[in-house]
Parts: sequence; C-alpha cells; structure tokens
Amino acid sequence: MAAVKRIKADIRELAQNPSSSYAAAPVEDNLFLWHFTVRGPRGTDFAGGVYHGRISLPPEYPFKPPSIMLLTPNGRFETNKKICLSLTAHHPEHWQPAWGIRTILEALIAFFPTPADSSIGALQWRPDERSALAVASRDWVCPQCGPVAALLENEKSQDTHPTPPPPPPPEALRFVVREDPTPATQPPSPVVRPEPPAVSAHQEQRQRSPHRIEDALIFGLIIAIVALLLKKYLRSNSLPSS
Amino acid sequence: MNPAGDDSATTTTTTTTEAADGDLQRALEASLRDVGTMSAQEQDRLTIDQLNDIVATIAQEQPMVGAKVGISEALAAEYAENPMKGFALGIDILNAKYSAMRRVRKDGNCFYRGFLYRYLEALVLAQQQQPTTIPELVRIREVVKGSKKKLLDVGYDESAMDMFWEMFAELLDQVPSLTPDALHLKLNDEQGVSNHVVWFCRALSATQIKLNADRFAPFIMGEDGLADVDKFCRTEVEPVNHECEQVQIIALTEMLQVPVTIEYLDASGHPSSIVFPEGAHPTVKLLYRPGHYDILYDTTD
Repeated sequence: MAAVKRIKADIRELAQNPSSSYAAAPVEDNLFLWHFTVRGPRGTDFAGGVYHGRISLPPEYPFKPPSIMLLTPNGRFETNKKICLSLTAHHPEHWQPAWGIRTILEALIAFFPTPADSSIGALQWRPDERSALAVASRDWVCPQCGPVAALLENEKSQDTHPTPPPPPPPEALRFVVREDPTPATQPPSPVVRPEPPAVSAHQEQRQRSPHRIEDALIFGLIIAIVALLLKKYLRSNSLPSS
Repeated sequence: MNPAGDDSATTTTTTTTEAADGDLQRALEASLRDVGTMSAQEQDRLTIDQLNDIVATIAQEQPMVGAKVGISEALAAEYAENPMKGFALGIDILNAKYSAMRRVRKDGNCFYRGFLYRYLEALVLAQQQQPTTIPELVRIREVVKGSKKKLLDVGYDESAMDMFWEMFAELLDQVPSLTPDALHLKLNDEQGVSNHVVWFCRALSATQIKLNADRFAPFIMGEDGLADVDKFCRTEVEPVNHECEQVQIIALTEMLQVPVTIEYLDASGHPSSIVFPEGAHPTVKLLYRPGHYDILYDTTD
C-alpha cells in the first residue's frame, strides 16, 4: 500500500534529520495515527511550552492532508478538536503530496503566534494566560507517550535541522479548527492536567468575540474614503471651475 | 485559453460527471457566494467537503481512462442539443481526421493523465514490435533518471519525492513486459501507481518552470503584474486535481522532451490544432474542449 510506504519514508526522514523543535511518531502499531510534540516558538507567549497532540493520516495520504489535534491546553487552539489544512477564499491553495508530517509540524509551530481569527476553536487568550499554560505544559503527561517534555531532544543538543527547509509560506497552509466528527478513540486523560487559568466573565466575552482585524481594516478604509471625498468636495468648492 | 471553461449552461452545484473539470472551480466559487455570512473558515470547510464530494462522485462514475470509442459515437450525442452548431461541425471535421478517442476522468488531472497514458501506450506498442529496447524507452529512462537531481535542486524533499520518482522509473522498466491491455488496467487501478505517476508529471512540470523562471515568468503574471514562480507552482501546478494551462503543458513537454498536439474543439466550427513545441511531430494527441482534455487517435494509429 502506497500510503504505508510513504509513511515509513516520513518516519525514516524524521529520524535522520531530527529537530529539537518537534518530534512525532506513530502510536503503537497504527501507522495512520501519530502523536506529536512541538516546542512553543521562542520570543512568543508560547516560549518554553511543550505541546502534545495527535495526527490522523487519511488512507489517501499523501494525496490528502493529515489532520491534527492539540491535546495540551495552550490558549491558542482548543484541545481535542481537529485542525484541518485548508484552502481559503483568497488563497485557493490545496495540499500537495510533496508535503509531509514535517511540513505540517513546522506550519503548526509557525501558526501558534499568529492572531487567532474568528474560527471555531481558535483561542485568543491573554499573554500571561498563555505563558502560564506554557509553563504548565512541561509537566503534561500523555497516557500513551508518557511525560511529553522528555519526548523532545534537548534544545542545546546538536540540531541537524536548525533551519528547516523553507517552511511553507503562511498563506500556503492554513489551519482551520473543526469539530471532529469521530471523537478520539482514547479520550486524552492526562495524568497531570494543569488547571486552566481563572477566566473572568470579561475574558469569556472576549473569547467569544475575538479580535476582528477585518473590522479594523474596513473601518480604516471607510475613514480613508470619507477623507478623500471630503477633500474632493472642499476642492471643488474652493477652486473656481475651469 | 480559458481552462475554467465558458460553458455557462452548466450549473455550479451539480456533481455530475457530465460537467467539465472547470466545475471544481465553479463549485468552489458558488459555495463561497452562497455562504457570504459565514466565517472564512466555515466557508473553507464547506468548500473542501463539496470539492471532495465532487471528486469522489467523479471517481465512482468514470474510469481514469476509458475504452477507445469512435469520435462521432462519443461526442455527437453530447452536442446534439447544443444550440451552438459549431460543435457539431467541428466533430465532423475531427471525425474525418481522427479514428478514435478515449475519455479521461474529469478530475482536474485530465491533461497529465491523458498525456501520460497515450505516451506510455505508444511506448508499449512500439516496444512490442522490437526484440531490443527501443531508443525512445532508453531516452525517457535517462530523462527520468536525471529528473531526480532537478527536483531536489528546486527544493523538493527527497523522502517525499522518492516514492513518486521510483514508481515512475519502475513503470518505465516494466514497459517491455506490458501489453496495452495490461497498461490500461495498471493506469486505471485506483490503488495502484496511476495517481502517483500522474502527480509526478505535475512535479516535473513545476520543476521545469522553476528551473526556467525567467523564461516562464512573463506567462504567469498575476493580476498584480507580478510573476511569482514559486507561488504559481504551489497554487496552479502542484496541488492534486488542479487543472492544467498552457504554461504547464509547455513545461512538461520540455522536461520530458515529448511533444503533444492539442486539437481545440469549440463553437467556431473550425477545430484548430496547436503543436507543443511548434514544428514537432507528436504521437500524443489530445482533444481539448472548454475545461477538459481527452485522448485522440490518428487514423493511422
């Protein structure tokens, strides 16, 4: 089966060029179900965090993309919800078979510090909340994989993949969080579950209506148009017509 | 050329295989129009689901490459009710010029699939008549062997590409032992190498474009007047099921050094044929109708 052949190639390649920023491996003997661990990107609210999750590979892999799911609370993505690669209205770009598990993980890491949009499951928690979760995440234990912090190579160690091959540009891979129609076969029950930071009513409200950059842009655009019209109006009134 | 087609009579919500490949694009656009109030992400999800549905339906209803059929037999009924009589006139002209055609699945891969099928079929037929390996088979093996370095040079990941490259090379190695029927089965096997070798043609096309970015740039200029070769490949060449335009055709024929003739059938009543590259004498001939490619056979084939 071609998918198995390719998955084995992915395993070999990840083993040959390990990164200290992420690791991934099939869970037990099912090649189509992986668990991954990624390091929160430096210089962000997620720095120091170690996040664990699931990757499901479709039978058609690599012709269809994997989907991923975060298991560690992180303040950026809801946990236990499928995150799919997506094409968007403005960038109708599809998955391509030259991409693999590594591409997905690198894109996920790059995606962590981007502003959460209005999609279901995207979280825009406060920096201090995210930082608290990042600290707590280091103690998170996966029922199948054990303490997740131990799954990543030491950051100081020799990193044969310090600068990954050109990561997919942000618009090429977009993550969309969607409800998982098939719930996880083994609902994650971490041994150490960090208490989510106290969430005030105000924060709840904010989470339900996250930042809308589009709104700001549209508002700016309207201001600009009004200013131009005003300028034109003033000019037509102040200058004698020719 | 308008690969998305201009067959305005086709509805956008249909999942029928009668619609052209362009319907994938139209379905996408329609679903976006219908759901203006949804978030971009919800729209994406719907679009992906709809696109997957269409591709799945097409896969169930149409083989990757069909049996050989007469031109009139295949096309006349399809255009009998078409108010644009140019199509019927064009079919008559093609019927006199060509002996048969094969329909290729309308899943956005039709150019690559049809091109590759006809090329390999001709290779198998030519090899069957010779006791020793024919020069064209030797040549194409060398081209494919040499392509690996080019693919890596433009940035493809070796571990991801190896499988595609190996499958293509193995298929060429099998040519001396294949009959046309065996090849037909192989290239119609949903679980087999077919989709891999078809996608490999996309990678070859993209590689040729990337290696000759300066030359191809003027033809891939976006609406903003900029030519981003990598982006073009990422959006228009490499994605599975994305339709093919002339740039990709030129690139693939250059990379493999395999020419192609394309007969354009439209409402004008005068099918026109274009040879890539100009002046070549291709064995591979394809029929283009707005939004779709099928395989054509000469009266001498």
